[in-house]
Order: sequence, then structure tokens, then C-alpha cells
Amino acid sequence: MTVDIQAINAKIERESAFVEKITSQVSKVIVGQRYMIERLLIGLLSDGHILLEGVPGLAKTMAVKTLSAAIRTKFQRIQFTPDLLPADIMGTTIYEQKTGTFSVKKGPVFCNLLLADEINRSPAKVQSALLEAMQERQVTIGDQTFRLPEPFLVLATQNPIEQEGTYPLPEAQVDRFMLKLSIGYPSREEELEIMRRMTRLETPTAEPVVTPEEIVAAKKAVHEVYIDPKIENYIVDIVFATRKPSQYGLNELDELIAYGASPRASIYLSMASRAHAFLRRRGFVTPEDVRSIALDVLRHRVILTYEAEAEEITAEEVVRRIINKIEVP
Amino acid sequence: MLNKTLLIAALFCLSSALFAQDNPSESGIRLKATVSAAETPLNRTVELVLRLTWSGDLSRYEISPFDDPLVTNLKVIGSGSSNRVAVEAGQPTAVREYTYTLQPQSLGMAYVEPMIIRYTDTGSGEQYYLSSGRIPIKVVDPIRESLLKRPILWLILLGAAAVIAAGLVVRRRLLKRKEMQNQEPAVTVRPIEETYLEELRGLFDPSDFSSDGSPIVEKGSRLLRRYLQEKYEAPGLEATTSELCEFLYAGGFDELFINKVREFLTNADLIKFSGRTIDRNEAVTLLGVAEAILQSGLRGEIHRSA
Repeated sequence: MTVDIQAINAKIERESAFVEKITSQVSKVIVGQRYMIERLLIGLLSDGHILLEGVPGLAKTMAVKTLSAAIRTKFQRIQFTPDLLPADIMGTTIYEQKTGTFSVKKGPVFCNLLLADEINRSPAKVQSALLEAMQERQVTIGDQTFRLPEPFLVLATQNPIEQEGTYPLPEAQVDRFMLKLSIGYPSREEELEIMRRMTRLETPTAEPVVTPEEIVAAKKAVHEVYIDPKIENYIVDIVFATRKPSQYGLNELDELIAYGASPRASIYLSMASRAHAFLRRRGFVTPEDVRSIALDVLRHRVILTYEAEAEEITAEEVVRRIINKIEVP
Repeated sequence: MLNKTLLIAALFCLSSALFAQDNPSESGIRLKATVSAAETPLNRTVELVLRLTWSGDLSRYEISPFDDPLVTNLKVIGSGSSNRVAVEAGQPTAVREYTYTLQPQSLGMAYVEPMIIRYTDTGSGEQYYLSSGRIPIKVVDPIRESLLKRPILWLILLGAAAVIAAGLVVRRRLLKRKEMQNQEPAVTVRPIEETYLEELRGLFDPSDFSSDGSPIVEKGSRLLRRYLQEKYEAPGLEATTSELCEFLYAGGFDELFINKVREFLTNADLIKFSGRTIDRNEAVTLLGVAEAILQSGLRGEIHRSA
């Protein structure tokens, strides 16, 4: 099969022109966190929701707000609390006394970028309601079903250091997040710049530089990024190695992995790799794209055994070992 | 003092009168004094044995301690004693022996003077005396010592034999090693670059007229990665191109080499993963970069800082 890579490259070049504009606008407000910003864009371009894990104060909310402002999209933030109800997110029907009819009151989920702050502070029924909306991209209120707007991206945050009074997301629900990001602290230089920038009288803001329509068009272009069968096999090898490590010369991981990644991992890894190549303004996927995103796609999909936990081995470490062992094509 | 001397002299006279040499006493105890040779060379020794025998068990008589025998022209150089019970003519007989080693001092006659031994009958508590006679020994010219009987000579001979044997073993080993060195063909270590260059050249099949050169590039890329893994322990097969180049940077390799590797692998990645087809000439040109890398490795031109 011959691929007209010139044409794909030209299209990707054209469609990805906005990436630099967004990055520059976000950089006006957010210092550093390039990794997080890039992953947010990957999620946006490949219809994948993102679970952010990091201690408070690492600009998670600000990054999402700034991205939303740069894209000229509707942004909503929901602080998840133990008394939150599904209707508080999805919306509900209200009885109109004047007309004697029920009218629909849409909830905050009807937006382009939804920040579900501390998602694990609400009980399972609220989490499930949101995760259903994430999966189906539609919400049913009363007897009416509403499509969610395009683009629609949920960014949920979890605080890794507080476990009391929380409702950890079940594995099946965590699996619905395309990426799980582990947000780290800024460097010393970045922290100095954050301090200076945020203590000015007028804090910087991002200007809208991209329309939602451009994002939708870019999402279509991402689907056209060429992925060679060799790369596809490489992705499947990585995912299979999480299930049957011994077949890939990783016998020591057999006892550490209880459940490997689901086929959803292969789908998301393929999509995220395409989006990564798109952000690099390239019309085809290379092993670099796969490797740079694999950890974020797989770290929450590999369930470890008690033996691994006893040895204080993390899923991230296991995935790293797999990625470093599988031969690149 | 005078009384004591008189007493001893009286006892001596009495014993000489009462007991002949080796004769039994009244109580049945007998003393027998013998020497191993009546004539001895000056450089030999003589054994003097005093044997006391009596019927019954050993505890029947108690022998009082006595000094070494008085000797003339001899020197006592060793002594020993033993007890045993034997059966003689169906009767148990106790035997007590005192042995002395005597060394002659000069040529001529030598004597073992008479000995007086006091003993006590444990049954009655009475004391008795036994005496031996004077024993003459003729000391003659010393005999010549056989050389082989001298221990020092034995030691010297054994030492010499050991040295000769060791010398023979060493010589044999040296000869054997030399022989093996002559027999073994000289092992020449073939540089791994030569093997990889040969393999690289083998990628071009002259009978293959297909227009697509991308499979050759793919194989060439893998070949170079294997080379880097084998030669520099780089993660050639598991790392991406940029990771591999980062590894080489971290390893302190010179920039020219890293740039060549990057150029080849990046172009190869482009061909491998973009779905492009290239003609064979283009593939040959690209593999020329890989060949140049291997050639510089063969010439030892790839340097790395410490």
C-alpha cells in the first residue's frame, strides 16, 4: 500500500498551525507544565478524557481554564463533594407552575471543557453519572436525550495524598480515562517565575486564538495521521506484554501483574500516538510518539498483585520496564 | 660419716660373700646383669640390662630406687625400665628390667662396676640386698661409618633428587608449551565492524529487481542498531532514535559520529514509518551513511570522552 504521505504531511502542517498559538497563549499564564499542557491537547484532539493526579496548587485548574480561554470554549468546574447528586451535574426537569409543564434545566456537564475537581470525593452514583456522559457523550434528562457539545473533554483531578473520606474510582471507571497524568512540582526557576508573575497587580490572561470548529477539524486530521502496521504491532506488543509478560522475556513481571491493560488501551494508545504526532506537525506515527505517551495511557490500566504492593512496586515502574524491553520496530 | 662408709663396706663384703653374680637370693628373687656385647668399637654403644625376676606378682617385692651404675671408661647416655609378668614353668613370674645405654670413652678396657640393689619383701617387711658382678667390656678401634648411614647425606641426596625432578618437570612443561604454541594457528580477532559491513553489503541482492528499496533500509537500520548494541552496549533495539542518540551523547561520543547515526536512523524512520516507498538507488545512498559509520568504527575513528 502506498501512502501519499506528502499530502498527509501538508494537511497536518496546515491543521496543526493553531498548536503554536495555543501554546504561546497558555505559556503567558502557566509557567512550565509543558507536559501537562501537551497531554491536555492530546486529550482534546483524540476525544480522550484525562485524569490528573497531583497535590493541590500545581495549576491544574488554572491550566484547564487557560486552555479553555485560548480555545474560546465553554468551561465548567465542578467541585465534587460527598453530598453532590447526579442531577447537580447532569441537570434535571423543573415543574413550571405558570404553564403546568416540566422544563429541562441542563447541568454544568453541558460545556466543552469540564473540570471535575477531586472526583473521588463524591460517591459512586455521581461518579457513574459523569462517566456515563463521558463514554456516551450524551445526557438523558427525564425523557429527553441531549448530545453534549463538541469538543467535550472531562478533566478529573485526584489528590494522591488524602485517602480519608474519599471514594476511589473503580478500575472499570478509571479505564475510561484515556490518560492518567501524574503532575509534579515545578523546577526552582519555574517556581521563581510563577511567584513573580502571580504577585503582579494584573495577572496575565489568555486570549482566545482558536475556535471550537478548528479543534473539530483538527480532530478529523488526527484520524488521518498515518500509522504503519509496524507501529500498530508495536502498540499491540506493549499492551500484550502487560497481560503476558513472560512471552516478552519479562518473566519477573508475571507475579507482579494481576490484570493487564484492556483492548481500550490499544485503541487509546493508537489515538494518543496519532495526536502526539499531530502536535509534532508530522503526518505519521513513529515509535517516539508511542513511547512518549505509553506511560500515561497504561499506568492506570495495569493492576498489580499483592506481591507487587508488598514490594512497593508501582504500576508506573512495571509499565516502564515493559516499554524498555519491547523492541522498537 | 665414717660409720656410714663402714656400713657400706661391710654390706659390700657381705653381699660379695653371700651372692654370686646373677645368683638368686634366698627369697627367690634373682638379679641378672648382662651387656649387649663384650667387645665394642669406640663409635658404638653398649646396652646394659639389669633383670630382676621373682615368682609371684609384681607387688611381692618393692625395689628401692638406686642410682645409675658406676662405670669406668664408659658414659651412661640413656636409661629405661619396664615391668612385666610372664609365666615360666606354669608359674607366674614377675620381671623388672632396667636398661642403660653406655657410650665407650676411649680404647682399652671398660667396666660396669658391681651394683647393689635393695628390695623389701612386702609380705614380711624385711629388707634384702642383691648385687651384680663387675662386667668388663673391651673397647676396640672404631669402625668406619658407611656414608649412606649418615642422615645429612641422605638429606642432601634427597634434596638434589627433588631439585633435579622439579627441573625436569619444568623443562617438560616449557617444551610442551613451546610445542603447543608452534602447533596452534595464530588466532586473529576479526573486528565486528567487518562482520557488520559484510552483512550490510549482503543486503543488496543482485537478483532482486524490485523497485522498492524500503525493506533494505529497514534491515540496514536494524543492522546499525544491533552494531551499536554489541559494540557500545547501547539500547539499540529497544530505544527510539532520539533516545539512542541521547544515550550516545551521555556516553561522551564525538558529535560527528552521533550526527551521522541520527541522520541515518531519522531518515530510516521516515521511510519505515511513513509508508513511503523509495527506489533502490535512494536506499543505496542512505545505506552509504551506515557504511561510513561502520568504516569509521573499523578505523578506530569513533572516540568518546572519558
